[in-house]
Amino acid sequence: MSSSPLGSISLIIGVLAALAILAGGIVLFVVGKGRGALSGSGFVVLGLGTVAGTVVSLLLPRLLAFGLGTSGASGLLGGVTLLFSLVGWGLVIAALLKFRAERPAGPGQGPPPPYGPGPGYGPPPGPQAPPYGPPPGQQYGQQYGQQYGPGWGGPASGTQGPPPPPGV
Amino acid sequence: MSVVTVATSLVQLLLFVGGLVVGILLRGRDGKAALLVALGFGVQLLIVVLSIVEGFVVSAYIRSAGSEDLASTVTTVTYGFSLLLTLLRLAGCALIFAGLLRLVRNRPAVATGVAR
Repeated sequence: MSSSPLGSISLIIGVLAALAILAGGIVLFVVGKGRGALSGSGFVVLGLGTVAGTVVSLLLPRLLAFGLGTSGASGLLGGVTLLFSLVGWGLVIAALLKFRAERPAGPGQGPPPPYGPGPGYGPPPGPQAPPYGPPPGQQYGQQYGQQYGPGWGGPASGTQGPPPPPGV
Repeated sequence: MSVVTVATSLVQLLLFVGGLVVGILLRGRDGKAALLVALGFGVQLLIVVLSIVEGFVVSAYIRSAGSEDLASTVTTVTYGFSLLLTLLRLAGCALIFAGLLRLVRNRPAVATGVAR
């Protein structure tokens, strides 16, 4: 425990905050039922990181007594904080990105109604299909073939229309 | 400032700016949850900025002051800042937790298969 009363208060509040963050992660785990796994584990790691930081802070006088040095001790504390905060906040941001990737339940984006599509859901009305039978060009070809002979587009050429008038 | 402190501050700045951007982008899905998450990450950013300011203030005070009770003053300032930052960290985590809880509980209709 630290010698200053403000230090003691700070330490106690830090431990309580760590426990609160840890409890929040567990609550997210339980309430989410699978959906809150990422965010819950992120908060658990953050809470554990705060606890680890507090433990390292408490052990700092002993570490200094063992000859670690001030810079080494502060480096150890900073490294522990960096590692836990990187993993914890990374998990929380990954959970937020996952929530963002989910499709929103906005109007017009839900599943189709169970009674089937209405009249507005069908294909747009296009041009009427031609009646059964040969296309118009083939009809003309047969007609002119019968009239002028096979050279003017009988059933073999089919799709050609009547020849242009001479002089055009 | 040591290398580890600078690296920690930089990584936390990047993480919290990323979280703030993701929180703002979430507003199309749930506006209130997005606001809570963005506020929480904003508080975390404020904590990083305050801790950097604390380092500069303390080192400047140590350089300028020559009084005998320097160590006690520095200790008081450091513990005071530590207490303030812990409370702010708790508040930021609570805001992000509330936003995440709202996102987890309000399942979209498509994901659960509920037809509207």
